[in-house]
Amino acid sequence: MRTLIYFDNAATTMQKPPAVADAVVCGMQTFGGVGRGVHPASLAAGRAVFDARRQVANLLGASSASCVSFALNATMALNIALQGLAEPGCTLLTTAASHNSVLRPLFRLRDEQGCAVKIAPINPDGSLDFGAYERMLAEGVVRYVAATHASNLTGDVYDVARMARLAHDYGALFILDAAQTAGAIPLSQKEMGADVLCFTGHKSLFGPQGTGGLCVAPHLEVRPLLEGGSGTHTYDERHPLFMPEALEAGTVNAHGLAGLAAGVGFIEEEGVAVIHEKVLKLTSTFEEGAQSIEGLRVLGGHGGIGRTGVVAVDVEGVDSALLGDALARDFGICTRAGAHCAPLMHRSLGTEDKGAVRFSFSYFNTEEEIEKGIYALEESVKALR
Amino acid sequence: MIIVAFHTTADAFGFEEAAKRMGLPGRLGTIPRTISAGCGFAWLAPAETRSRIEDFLAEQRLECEGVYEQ
Repeated sequence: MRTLIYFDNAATTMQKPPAVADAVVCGMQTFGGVGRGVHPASLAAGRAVFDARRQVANLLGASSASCVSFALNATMALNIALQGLAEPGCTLLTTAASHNSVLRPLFRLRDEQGCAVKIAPINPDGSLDFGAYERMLAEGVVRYVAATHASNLTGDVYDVARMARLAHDYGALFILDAAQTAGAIPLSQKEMGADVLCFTGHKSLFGPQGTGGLCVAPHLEVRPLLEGGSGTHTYDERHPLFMPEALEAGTVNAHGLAGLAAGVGFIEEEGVAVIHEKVLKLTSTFEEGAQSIEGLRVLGGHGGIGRTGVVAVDVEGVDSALLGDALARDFGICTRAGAHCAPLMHRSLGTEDKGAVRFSFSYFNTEEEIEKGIYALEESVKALR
Repeated sequence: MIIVAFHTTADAFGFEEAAKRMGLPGRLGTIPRTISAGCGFAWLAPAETRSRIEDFLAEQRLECEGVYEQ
């Protein structure tokens, strides 16, 4: 069987540190109900989940382990944050770089709660129109900003510390979608000034799918999205509001979170700056090779204060879906073609009709794979023209 | 026996981790129903450790529902 070359890490990292699967298997063989009962099997699960909280808090610069609530992924975390904070009729602001995980919950608030949604534009080079962003805040009505740290389409990393500072200056809270950056670049919730930071486990944190969560600043109270079993305060009619379990009704995914802790542990050992540097090098090499192909345009990538390991391409006269299919079929190269759940970003970059092919790299990719990727891209473009 | 009750299981495990690190005697166990219906976990420790536990809670800035003696 042909070996796959996996360049779809912005969706899910496929290659994980071996300790991740080991931790999940060990958990499945030894964990009882987490936070439900005080016996050795339950304690083992509880300790693993606490370890995951502590490690995530350390890596992402949250105030403490108690500020980290777990969810299934960044989408769920963003829904918890937005629905748990926004009041009916309030005004929220996002940017055109947002993924549907931000946009759709906002549009739901607009349609069902009478909220107003403002969208700061993205320039054709992928950069944020900061002037428009500040003008929208200066109107004085925005209560919440929900913004992506890095575009999942172009990899452009936005200056969210500046965005958060401006939001606070105009009286708004700042909710950060760190789905593309947690584990990929050095970051700190406290230093960036994010009131809520939403993350997913299955991308650059190297955890299993079904892990993620939100880091909530200690001064905030987020209303629970779900109510139910908590293992605590059983006779209270409503779900207890003590963090972090206020936002975790039902049994959490302790098996998956044990894997997430192992993934985060690997990142801490290697160093997130080292990981980022290697991925950037692979990204630059690929981008340089891709740009030598006639008629190919790299989307964004240089419009922010940094970038993640993403190179999205648009090839003149070539349908992105067919190109992605050819790369997979003929070369075993896994990419993501289409619209990437980022409709407004594609509109901003002029690729709404055709979409793009996104190559996204991880710490486990090699220079050799990058060279093969460039060759495959070149050959596929030739064949499709 | 000293019983430290917690609002959340996260607080209980946070206390346990810090207590182990600092060499504080005791263990996580089930909280007697007569004391609290909060988190099912409690830190159970010898009676003579009460003042040490109270100092520890303050120094480490750890959250708890209350410290009881039984």
